[in-house]
Amino acid sequence: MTKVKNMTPKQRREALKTGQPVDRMPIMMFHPDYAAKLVGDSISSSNFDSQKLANREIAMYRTYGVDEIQIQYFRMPMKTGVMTGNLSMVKELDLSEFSPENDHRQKINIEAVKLIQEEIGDEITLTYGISGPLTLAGGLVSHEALLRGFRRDQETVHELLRFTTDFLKSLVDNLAQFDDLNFFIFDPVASGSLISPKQFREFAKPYLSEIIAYIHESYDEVGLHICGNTTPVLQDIVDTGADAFSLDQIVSITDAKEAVGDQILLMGNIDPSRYFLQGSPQEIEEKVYEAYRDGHDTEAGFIIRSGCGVPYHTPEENMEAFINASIRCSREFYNLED
Amino acid sequence: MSKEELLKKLSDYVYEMEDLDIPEVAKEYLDAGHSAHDGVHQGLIKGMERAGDSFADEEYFVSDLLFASDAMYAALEIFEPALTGDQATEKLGTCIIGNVEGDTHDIGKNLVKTMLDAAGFNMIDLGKDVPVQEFIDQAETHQADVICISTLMTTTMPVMREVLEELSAQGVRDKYKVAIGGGPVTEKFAEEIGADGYSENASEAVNLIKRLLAIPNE
Repeated sequence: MTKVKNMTPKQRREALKTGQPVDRMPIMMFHPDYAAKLVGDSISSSNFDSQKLANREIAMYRTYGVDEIQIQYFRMPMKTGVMTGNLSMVKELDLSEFSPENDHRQKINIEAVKLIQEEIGDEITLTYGISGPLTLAGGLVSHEALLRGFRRDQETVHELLRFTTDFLKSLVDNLAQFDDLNFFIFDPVASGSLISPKQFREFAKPYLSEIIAYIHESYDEVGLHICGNTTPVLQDIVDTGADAFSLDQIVSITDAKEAVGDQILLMGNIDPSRYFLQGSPQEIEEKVYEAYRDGHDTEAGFIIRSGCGVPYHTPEENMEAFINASIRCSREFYNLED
Repeated sequence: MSKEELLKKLSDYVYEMEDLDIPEVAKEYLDAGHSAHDGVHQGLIKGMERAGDSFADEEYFVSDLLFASDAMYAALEIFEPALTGDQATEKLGTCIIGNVEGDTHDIGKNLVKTMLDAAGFNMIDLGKDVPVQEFIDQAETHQADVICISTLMTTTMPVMREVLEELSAQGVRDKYKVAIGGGPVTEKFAEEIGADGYSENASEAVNLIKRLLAIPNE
């Protein structure tokens, strides 16, 4: 086997796609909070400053060599007086109010993407993280109002989801100046712990499918993360057209692999609270080993990842244990040369 | 319809989340002269407990528990005026409940409140984003037995520790049992910060609080 050393994430990704040897398998996590701590910022201060956003992602890449860095858009700004915790104002929502000119988050993010691409764009493809249509909807009208709407006012809920889906399309359009991007959709409100499979199929799946297809018109890769137990809807998740699915820690990698591992790349699923935050380095090493043991033979591919967001207060030695164990186990399970 | 049939219907309508139709059943039950206390305990609460059981069995989802609690409260409104004198329920204890400062994810907290309410506890809900001192002040004011603290975010978990530390600093730690819960919270974290208990979900929370207060399960 050819010995390869110190590949960049772009080289690694390309080699994996074309069946060439790699130095190690990719390592990913949801790290924005931890990255803020890494550069000595609070989460909120770095969220609203393009330069700080860029700094923390670049630092995360330079420090740990992670294969994914993200700029994220998670919540639409609430227009005072428009949303009052119920569905009655959905009709007044106006897409033009959420243009990058009015929506600071979009503007800040676009600047941050530019800064990151200038600095390390030749080594790593930036991932743009967005909330799913259902999660944005919950953020706008309150989650309880949304759930009640499932039962009493499906029509308005669909109208709202139409709006958030169209908004996400406009958000993708607003990124048209960048051609080298991956996307990742987070849809915690579509969680199997919150809504039933039937509700998932009616309120989450169609809109997720639509936005994923839309992104695919311009970009190659769209990953998806849904929190909680998604075992009953794994096939539906495949049907959305996502290229990778990130498993919450409560889903068994083995079960997911057996159910859909031949159809979709799986990622996961080290428990962020139990192990990153509260565990010991030894525990993290064990869990990383188990994840590779269960996931490495997934037909459509497997990438080690945190099960959800890595906490701000995660001890440095735990992060190092995660990275080192991931490198070591990936070489062991994929027979890569050290 | 007999009293038993009406009680069954009340329970079923909570369990089946019929929040629009249940008030009529509650009225019919009261008009027939039956005990409001029995209606609440053998009808509504039984239905809510069944919903809690189905949630524990993963047949029901959070959304279902929410709809079932809507139905329970819709009927409780009808029953409440009749729950006076010896009809009034003796409460099992008083619980302060809230989401810590910085956390606004309150669906889980609301479900715990509902389940404990249904189980017979006097619930003082402080809402979400509650300052540390507020938990302590309200516990003092209401002479609470238990303080229940929730968060869904790892970033605000340290605030739970602050509540415990402040309770100790102010010399009132021993007056209350402290229970914590929420997505990222674990048994281990509860032990580490010196909480008295942890519950993984809303239906388990009832058993936890009863255990903490040494209340036997019927």
